[in-house]
Amino acid sequence: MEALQRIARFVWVPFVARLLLEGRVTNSPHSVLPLDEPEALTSDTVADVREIIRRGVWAYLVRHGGWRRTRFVDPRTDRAGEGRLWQAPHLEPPTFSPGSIRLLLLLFNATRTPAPAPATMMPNAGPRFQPAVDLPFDLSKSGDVLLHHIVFRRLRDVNRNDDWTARFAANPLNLLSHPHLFDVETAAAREPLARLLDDDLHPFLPWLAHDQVRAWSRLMPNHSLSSDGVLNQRQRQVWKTWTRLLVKAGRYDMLVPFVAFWSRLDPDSALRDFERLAGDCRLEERSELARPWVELLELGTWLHKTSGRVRALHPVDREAVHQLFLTACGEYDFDRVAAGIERLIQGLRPSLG
Amino acid sequence: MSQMYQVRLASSVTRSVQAGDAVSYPLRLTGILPEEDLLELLRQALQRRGFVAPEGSQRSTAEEENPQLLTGQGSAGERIVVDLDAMTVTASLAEEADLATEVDVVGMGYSRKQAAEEARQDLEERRRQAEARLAREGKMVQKELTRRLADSDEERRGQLHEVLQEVYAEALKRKAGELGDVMEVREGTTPDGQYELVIKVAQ
Repeated sequence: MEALQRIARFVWVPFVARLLLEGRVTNSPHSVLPLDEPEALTSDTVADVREIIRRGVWAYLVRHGGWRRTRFVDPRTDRAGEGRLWQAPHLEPPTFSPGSIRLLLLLFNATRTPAPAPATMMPNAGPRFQPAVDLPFDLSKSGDVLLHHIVFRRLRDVNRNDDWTARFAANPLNLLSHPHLFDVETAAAREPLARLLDDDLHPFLPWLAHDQVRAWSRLMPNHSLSSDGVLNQRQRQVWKTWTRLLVKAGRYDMLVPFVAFWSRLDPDSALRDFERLAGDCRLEERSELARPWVELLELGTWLHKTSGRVRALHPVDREAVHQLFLTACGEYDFDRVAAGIERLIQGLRPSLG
Repeated sequence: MSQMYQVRLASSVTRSVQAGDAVSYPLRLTGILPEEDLLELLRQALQRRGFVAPEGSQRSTAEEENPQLLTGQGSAGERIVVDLDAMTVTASLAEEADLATEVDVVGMGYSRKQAAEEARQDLEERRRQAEARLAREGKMVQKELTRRLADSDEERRGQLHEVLQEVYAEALKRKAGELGDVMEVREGTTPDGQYELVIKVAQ
């Protein structure tokens, strides 16, 4: 037991700190730690890890968008504001369950190399999860949602293989930042995504959006759409679910990241990419290739129609969420962006009428 | 002096090619009148241009069950199917071709058997080459058909837009009649060739 306690204190604790604070996943040839033997972790070890988790989550949020001055709406007062993450009103500190400790133990175990391999700082040290092992994930605690997301992002940074990503599908932040990785039906996505609108999580979203848009822009090679039809379909599936939830909840302010995303699209470049992709295809094959593109683009068209409905509201009837959305649409010249989207749709699949 | 034997073999190589392609357009109608009224106007406009319900051998199984289909023919010989239920217009072309070529070879040898074997091997090789050539020709048939369908796209959509123009003109006239007494209806084209409809209504 002492040996395990030493491993926990002197290997696991630094592992957690490097993971959360530096984004490094380190392998080393040590024994794995037991999951169901609390005595393997001393109270000092647990206290240290809890503190690292608390600081690590906060540090990640600040570095990945939280430091930016960002517009937000406080739905309790219907007032718009602008500031950095720590200036957000009613921002509750994240809370964590014991599942957070268990998650980090599992991750530690999954990244051990059998002795006597030398200790290394392996840049592509991806996890090797046992198939039967479920990753703990409790949606009820905001801190767990954030930690789980950070772990996912850190692992993605070091290992782009997709064989382990499905285990992270239950986290709505993962679904939002990397929709193309998860094959989820609309109904299955609705409940986890709806969790993000709760009072303990939604205040973080305006700042997390910066990171999301950056992640989404990697799905746009040459300011075009991906040539991978499956990727486009998955992206559409998650986004459609989330944007409909936002409109239903009246959270038009949360549509701003999508306006930012669509403004990056270059319709001419996209059409050229598509022509290269379609090559000498028959027209039927071309139409089939175009379908996931068009279906994804129609989300942009829907967003523009939504902005039209909001603009049609009398200024007296507009709330802060409407105003913030319309301001963003104006700044990104969304009418011009939407015209480009429509032009691209017509190039891919002309319509009549 | 040895005698050389010659054996001649000949064979036909054939290939049936079925080429086909189709393109679909979604149909979007602006809601000037209730949808069922617009669809009825569209049906009538199409029928005036020779569109009919698919009959007999033209019909696929799906078409037999759907009374909302009208078919016509485009300028490139394509079949145009308008589905008023699914709100789509589909243009398709299909073609069958039988490609054939002859191959013949002469094998030589010091015995009849040797000459026959050489001829047989040669024939096999020439058949393979001929089959590959016919396969390429078959792809060209498909490519040419796709090109015809693609090239006729602009003209086809132009004609269908003219049909829709008729529908909208009639719909606007009816709508105007609902708003008040129609005093004047004037149809024409602007100096830049655009269709123009002017309806004056007294309220």
